Amino acid sequence: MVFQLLRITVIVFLSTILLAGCGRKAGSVAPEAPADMATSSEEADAQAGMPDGMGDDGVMSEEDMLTERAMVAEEQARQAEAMRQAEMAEMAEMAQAAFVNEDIHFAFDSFLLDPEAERIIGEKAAWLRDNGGASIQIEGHCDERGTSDYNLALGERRANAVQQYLTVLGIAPDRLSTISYGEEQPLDPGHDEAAWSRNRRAHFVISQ
Amino acid sequence: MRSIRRKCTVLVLLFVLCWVVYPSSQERIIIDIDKVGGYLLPIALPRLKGETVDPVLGQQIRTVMQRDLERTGLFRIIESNGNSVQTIKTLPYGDWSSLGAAGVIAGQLDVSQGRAPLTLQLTLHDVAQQLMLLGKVYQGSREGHRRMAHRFSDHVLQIFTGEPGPFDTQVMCVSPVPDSKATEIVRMDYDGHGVRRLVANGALNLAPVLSPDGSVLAYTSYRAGSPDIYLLDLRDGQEERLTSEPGLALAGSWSPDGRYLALSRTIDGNNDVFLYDTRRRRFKRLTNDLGIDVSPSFAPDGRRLVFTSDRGGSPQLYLANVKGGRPARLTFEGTYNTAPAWSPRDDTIAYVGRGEDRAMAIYTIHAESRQRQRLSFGPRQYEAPTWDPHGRFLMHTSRVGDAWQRYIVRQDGHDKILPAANGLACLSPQWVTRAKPSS
Repeated sequence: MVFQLLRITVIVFLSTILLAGCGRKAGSVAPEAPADMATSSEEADAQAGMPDGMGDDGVMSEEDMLTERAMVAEEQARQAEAMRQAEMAEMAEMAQAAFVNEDIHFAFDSFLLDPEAERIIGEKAAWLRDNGGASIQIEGHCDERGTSDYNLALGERRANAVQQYLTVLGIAPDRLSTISYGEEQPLDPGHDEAAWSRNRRAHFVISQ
Repeated sequence: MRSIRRKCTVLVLLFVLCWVVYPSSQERIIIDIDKVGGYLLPIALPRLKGETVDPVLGQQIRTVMQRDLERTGLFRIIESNGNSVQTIKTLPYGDWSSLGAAGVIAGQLDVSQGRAPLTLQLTLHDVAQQLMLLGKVYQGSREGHRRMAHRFSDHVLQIFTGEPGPFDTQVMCVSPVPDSKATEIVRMDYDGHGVRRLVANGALNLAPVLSPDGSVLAYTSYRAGSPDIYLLDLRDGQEERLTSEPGLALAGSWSPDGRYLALSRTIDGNNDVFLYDTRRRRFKRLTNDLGIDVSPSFAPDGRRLVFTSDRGGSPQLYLANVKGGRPARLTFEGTYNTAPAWSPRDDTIAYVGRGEDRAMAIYTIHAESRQRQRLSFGPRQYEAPTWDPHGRFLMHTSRVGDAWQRYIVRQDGHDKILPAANGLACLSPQWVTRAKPSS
């Protein structure tokens, strides 16, 4: 009786160790857990000083299955979480890429914002609200037509128009700087209306 | 800076002796450069005496003069390589007359005599009158041979038109650095030779404007993150940052006395014209308008300025007084008139305008009469024109497609392409007198 009682105690003790070990391991280094578990059960056997493990086999297998099921579930949950995070990161990255890559365009010799420009600036403002730590620089650019100095001044007007609209939308002015490159840095090296319309732009750069 | 100074010093052991000038040039104007027809004065340019000692140098000297004179559109150089001169003072005038030459430029080259490595004598002869009109002796280093030729070309133009030519001059340019977003400020001879880098810092550098005495270069650089004006003293290499606000700052033009720099500057989002007084080291606001006010250019009287403003809804030229007052609109035709350059000699203002056919072109307009003249045609993109230091010729850079070309233009629109400098593009040229030897 005493021996049996002792045996039950040992089994309960072992199970506790095993489950505890499993839970910890599954939480931290899941992929390696099955191997670790075998090791820890052997260690447990040795630590328990059991010369005969025959009778424990059935019980140990059950525990293994249980922990394995828990592990699979946890692994799935972890993967789902990782995917969700990856998706979020990807979305944030896409949002940032859209923020940086989508330019605001202008008519020849104009710095007026048309409805499409206002829509895009609205999206920029949303991104800036989602990324409160970011500061940006708005670059004003022109097409190659016209003269260098006037285009530098015009590019500045374009950048300022976008900056002003963003502040109207509630973005703090100290997060927004402007710079004009005039006609000096065309995006499209072409010399036709398609190239010119691409080059008449306000471009966003994340400065920090 | 130091190396530039050294090179300049080397270049200029060069002095000129005028030993004879027959009839005074004032009495001998036979070409009115501003009212020229189709007649090209035939000039012979035979091999120089002594050229056989250094045929390459002789050829180079003659080519410089030939190109100079041809670019005016006033002369036709008679190919006379077969003839060389026996004496440069009394030519066998009959021989040249039979070749159809109205004038002859003869010369003697001496590369071994005396202390100077190169002695060049040049003479200009009137074949019909059998007269020597001009004679000059140049001595200096071999590297100075182009300059000697340019100076003689200037004198030839003086003889025939009553005013010196624009050949012994230089230009300040913005030169893009290949495969980069950077530009450099360079100085070179008007015909693209002798390029010297003045500003090369890996950043975008724009709008170089040299002071009248050639000592201070104002330009805009992005090197500190925003487009600011810097003043570079070419005598000692000292540099001063003139503006530091986040907005645009562009130098426009120096007053003829060199005291004031007219510039445009954006403060709190508002772009206006200012004068910077280099003596008192302070700015004076000249315009105060919500629109763009850019590209100020001084009149030769130093009291008036022309600038570009879009205050009326489209870019137009306006006249302002240095004492202040409301600017007066100058241009009314066309919806795009920018980049004015006031002539250093009279009230003619050159600019880039958009004509009735919507194409950009070079125009001139008179500040008082407002009479306007179109100088260029064809589908090109033009940058700001610049006057030669005497105010007779214009230069501009324009392009068709990817190809930038620099032109020398007469006030009647006659133009010639200037050679590219070693593959270097020269954008936004400012035509200046040659750097002084000491600078």
